[in-house]
Amino acid sequence: MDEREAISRCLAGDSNAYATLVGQYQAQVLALCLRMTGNREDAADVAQQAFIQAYRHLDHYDPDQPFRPWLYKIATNECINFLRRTKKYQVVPAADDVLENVSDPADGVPSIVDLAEDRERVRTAVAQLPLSYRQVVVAYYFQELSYQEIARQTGVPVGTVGTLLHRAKQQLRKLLAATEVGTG
Amino acid sequence: MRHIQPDLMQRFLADEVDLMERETVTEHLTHCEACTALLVQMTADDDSLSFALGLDEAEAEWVASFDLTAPVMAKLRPWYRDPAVWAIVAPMLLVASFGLSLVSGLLTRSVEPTGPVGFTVGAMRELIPALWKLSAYLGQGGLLRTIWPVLLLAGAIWFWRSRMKKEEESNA
Repeated sequence: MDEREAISRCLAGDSNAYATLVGQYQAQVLALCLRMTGNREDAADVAQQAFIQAYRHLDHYDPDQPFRPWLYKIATNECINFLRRTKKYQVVPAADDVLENVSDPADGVPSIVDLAEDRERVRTAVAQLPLSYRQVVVAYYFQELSYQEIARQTGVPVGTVGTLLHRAKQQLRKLLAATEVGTG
Repeated sequence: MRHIQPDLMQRFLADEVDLMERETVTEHLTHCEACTALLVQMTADDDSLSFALGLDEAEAEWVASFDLTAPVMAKLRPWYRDPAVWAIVAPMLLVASFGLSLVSGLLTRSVEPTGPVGFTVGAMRELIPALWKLSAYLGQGGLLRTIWPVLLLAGAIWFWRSRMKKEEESNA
């Protein structure tokens, strides 16, 4: 059974057909939730909830659009709702003036490459980003979505995605630099 | 000299620029060492982030082995929507319906009794319509498909009883 057929059957009331869609996308949704929430237990709960929400709102899905981004959007929203609800993340305030502060590239900010000797430190830093930044960072660097797809998933204009990414990276550098100072 | 804005550079890196922007950046990079250095740094940062956020071996293994199908389907399909349950319950209901209708039919044909027996007869008269209503109510939740034989039988019994009653009234 292919994706379209499974969706049609679900919409016709055959809930068993949904197992096909869950099987097809569970690894991707789990991985996304894992990267957004930061731990396996939460990721499994949120991914499960995302699939249930997707099923309940399947009648709102436009069959002319690809299913994957629609499902990702629901999964991302579930992650954000979970993080907000449980307050399981620490956020540093968004630095809206970062771009203005970096007028000359020659000023040189420490590179993520220099500071990120291990993955865990980068992941911890990403987990401290404001949710709007974390969302685009995970979507671009982990899910490898295009700007168009990220815009559709996050609901921001396509032109804003690049700006958000750049600001997120600036913030990451600061966070990594801070941990470098803290540990060093 | 005006340098390339970092967010434009970010879009340039992601190949998310239009033709004019691409030409502008490319042309600028040919003579600006600072922006070229920034581009190199941003490229390295991107590679670094992609690597850091990627699944490591243990995570990939966990993701691949974790099965969400069973818990999701269990939540989507509670016990009363499981065909296996109704495969057992439906025949039992059918037998019960037959039994009730038989008893009810026999009792309604006989002379109207009094006392405790009269109470039982009255209860039987109320029970079958109530069962029919309950089945219809459950059917709204998607059970209609699985218990339609019971509903059909209940309807047939109701119809049969109505006719019997009319016949009795006309005979009387």
